[in-house]
Amino acid sequence: MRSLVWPLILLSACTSVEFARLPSVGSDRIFITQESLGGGYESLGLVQITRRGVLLFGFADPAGTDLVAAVEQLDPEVRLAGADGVMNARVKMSQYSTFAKILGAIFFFFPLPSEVTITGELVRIRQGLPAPMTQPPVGAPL
Amino acid sequence: MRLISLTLALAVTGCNATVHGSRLSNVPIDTGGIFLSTGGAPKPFRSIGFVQVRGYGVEIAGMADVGNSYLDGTIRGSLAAEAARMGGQGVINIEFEDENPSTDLERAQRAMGSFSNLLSGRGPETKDRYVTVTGEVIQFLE
Repeated sequence: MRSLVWPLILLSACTSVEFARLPSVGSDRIFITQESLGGGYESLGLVQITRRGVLLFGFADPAGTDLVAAVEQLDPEVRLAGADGVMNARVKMSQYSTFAKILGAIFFFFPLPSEVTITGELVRIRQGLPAPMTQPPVGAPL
Repeated sequence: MRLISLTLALAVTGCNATVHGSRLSNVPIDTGGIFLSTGGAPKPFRSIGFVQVRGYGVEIAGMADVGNSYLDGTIRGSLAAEAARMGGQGVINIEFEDENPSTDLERAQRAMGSFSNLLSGRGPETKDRYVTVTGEVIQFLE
């Protein structure tokens, strides 16, 4: 039984989780979706946001190379282009397990390189056409 | 000490790059030519194949890009041309990535390095640049 303890501890450190909430709420909010739009839209171009930096001591991310920072940087790009949102967004980012981060903290003189990239198509929804369905209506079967 | 200072400077500076591409096709379709979209097709279609293009270019002295490492050149040029050659009327589900965009800081460093090189009789600094684009080539049934 005792021989299982260390493998379990190490395995529990193998999963890393990242999440980001969409930037704003209110009447002028934008949308970011990994889907295509069902209704009509006008394409306003492609956009790619890349943020690069290093993780200091395995955990500190002063350059902001996580999902939240990338989504926050995408927000002004959408508004500047006059778009309503981004469709078919794709995310690619470096992720380190807790174990790797601990190693990064021990060997702090080798900071971990970190990068996040978001790509997508800027679109404006056409007036008079149905709005995009980015999530199912409340109560609808999935 | 110098190593730690350099690491801190690198981490805090952060490196952000934003890449833009021009408009793709609108939905409903309102122009001629090859239909291009990061999403699906607006009409019934049949798939005739897949295409991937990796554009290559060189950034010189952090200021000038030569070659085919622009999103626009790769999508509207090579990708659309290849689709037309296959007999397609459109490319859907386009995915793109500028693999190594330079940040403003990197461009400035390369420009300064090139200036220094030129003063000592050497050539400017260069960086290989790559853009990868994939998509599904289709023919409309209507």
